[in-house]
Amino acid sequence: MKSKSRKGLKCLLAVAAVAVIAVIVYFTSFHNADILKIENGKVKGIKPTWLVGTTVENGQETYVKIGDASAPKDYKAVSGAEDTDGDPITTNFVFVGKKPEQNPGTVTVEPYPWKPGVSEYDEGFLLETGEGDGFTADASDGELYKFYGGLREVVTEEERTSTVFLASPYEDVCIKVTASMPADRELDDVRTLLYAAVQKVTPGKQISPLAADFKLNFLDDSRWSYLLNGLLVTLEITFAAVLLGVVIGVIVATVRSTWDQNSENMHKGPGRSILGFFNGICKIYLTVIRGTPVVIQLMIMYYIIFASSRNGVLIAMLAFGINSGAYVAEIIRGGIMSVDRGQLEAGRSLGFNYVQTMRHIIIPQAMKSVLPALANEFIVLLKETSVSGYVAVKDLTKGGDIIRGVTYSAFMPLIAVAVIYLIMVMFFTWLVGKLERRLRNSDH
Amino acid sequence: MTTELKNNDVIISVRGLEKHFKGGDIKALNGVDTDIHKGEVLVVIGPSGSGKSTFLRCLNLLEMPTGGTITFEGVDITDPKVNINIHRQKMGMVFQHFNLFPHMTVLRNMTIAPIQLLKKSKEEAEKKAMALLERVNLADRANAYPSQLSGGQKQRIAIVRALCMEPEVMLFDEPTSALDPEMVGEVLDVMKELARSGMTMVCVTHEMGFAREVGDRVLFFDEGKIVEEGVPSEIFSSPKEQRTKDFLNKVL
Repeated sequence: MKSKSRKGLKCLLAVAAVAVIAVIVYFTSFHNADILKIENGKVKGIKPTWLVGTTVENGQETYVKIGDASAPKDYKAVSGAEDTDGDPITTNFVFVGKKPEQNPGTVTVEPYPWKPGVSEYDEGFLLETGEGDGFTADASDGELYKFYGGLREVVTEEERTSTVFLASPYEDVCIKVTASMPADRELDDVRTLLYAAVQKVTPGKQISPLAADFKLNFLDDSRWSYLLNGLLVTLEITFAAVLLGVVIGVIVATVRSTWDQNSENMHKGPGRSILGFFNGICKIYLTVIRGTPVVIQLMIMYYIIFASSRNGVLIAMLAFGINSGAYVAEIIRGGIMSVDRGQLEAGRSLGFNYVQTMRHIIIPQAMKSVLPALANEFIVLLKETSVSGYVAVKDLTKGGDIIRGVTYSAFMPLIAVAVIYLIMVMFFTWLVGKLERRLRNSDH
Repeated sequence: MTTELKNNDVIISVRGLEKHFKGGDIKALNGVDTDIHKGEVLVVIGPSGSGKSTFLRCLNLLEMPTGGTITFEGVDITDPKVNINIHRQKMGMVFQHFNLFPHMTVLRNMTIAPIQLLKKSKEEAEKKAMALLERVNLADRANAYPSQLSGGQKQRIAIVRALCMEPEVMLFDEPTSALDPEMVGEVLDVMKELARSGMTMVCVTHEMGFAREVGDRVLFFDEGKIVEEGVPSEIFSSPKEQRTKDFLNKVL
């Protein structure tokens, strides 16, 4: 079934390709054809072109434009033969439909003072903007302004002009290109002339707006280094925070799960009281950290607790580590509770005390079972650290912000930062997948 | 303080043992008195819920008694001031569900406690472990992980793991109840050999054949108390109490 639909798709594509090629050939094959045929008084051929022929009356060559190929009555053309009576002979013949020598029009190309951020000049628009597609008439001086796709066109009784401004912001260059033709020519021809000129004079390489934007935001002044250094800082903070979080998490999880599982069975005494006390502290820690936004915790650490220090990166590591610890603690606690109770009993019956049993037997098994969840916590942390900029840390997000501030361009920096985060998350997600598969395969 | 005990000296003494759950509503053990002698093989039988497992688990304080005393090698281990961990080293326990450590090899399972607790060197511990594995014909599985073993193999490993600590008494909590029938024999063989070598054993089990073969004394539990006790031949052929008779009629 699969191969059949694949085959069908291939056939469809082949047919489409052939059709497209045929259409292209059809249209281009007439492109340079300036051959017309007149059959039964009707002109066969393509678009309007000039007809060269002679009138009988005065034997002079007359240039007549064929406005509509289906209205032959606008012209008359002969081959130049006469019959014996001197009457004209009209017959089918082939015309050479070349445009006669005409005033080719003029093109002026001149530099123009560059105004950054301005998209409209007195005499025209920047080519990129392409705004305006309507008419305004200013009858007072008899001129007709037409805004056509970024061009400003002036139509008077004597001539038609079309003006466009080309600007290359990254080279700080502005050029004004004007094409003008006498009034008997059409605006379309003026535009054709203009575009041909534009092709020749466009400064620098034919750079697409996207490529120019890219260069401005990343290549100029090595602005990509903001992103690279920011990325390194982000990774630094994330790794440190994860480590701290795991250490805190293991301790808190051990205290909490010990209390939950054993408090009823313990002798009432100092040991139980101490454990109860620490359990209470852990519960407060969990409630507060999980109940407030990480940004607030970060700022409290930076502006209040460690106000004397301005080492933002270290403070960020601490804050995110403490924050992560609360979530990791619950993850690990789940892992500890999921270890079979018989493991604890076996350990205790061999003579291990509670701490030894946890250390050698329970926690290794718990960590193994929560490793994927911990890896996911790492991925979450990676994105959470993006608020580090709040406390003057130059991380990846802040790097993008800095570039945006310099170039006033929002698209490239933001999209680039998002893409980098995405790539990192995808990479680590893939790693986690490999880890999970490896754990599953070696499940013992 | 362990005094050198001669055979037939009392190694564990239980007086008035009680275990209540849920604030007194459930009385798992309701006053148990017995003496366990060195070298004795004590078999504990009874219907489910009779408290036999609870009794066994109280002996090494896996269950904390709510009343009564247990004296092990002359020390009252129910005293809160006593460090129970030291005494547990001398009591090996074998569980119904094996409870091997899945994240360690067989060899590591056996040597981790002697190395950490008895402060033995790795070579010493491994040597002893291998010797024990030889005894149960599992020397070739020394580097396997528990998940790669069958139930019977796991239980035999569990037994020798406990033996690595050189205990004075071995406690068995229904060691064959979770095994497929064809593997029960190999485990019982190990236990019988252990019994014949003079190990003090307390076994909660349904395997009456084992009791008859190597048991020195049988305790019949019901409703948290010892209903009847005696040598296997007496208990199995001519039980005195009606409840004992009823139970034995059902299982034999």
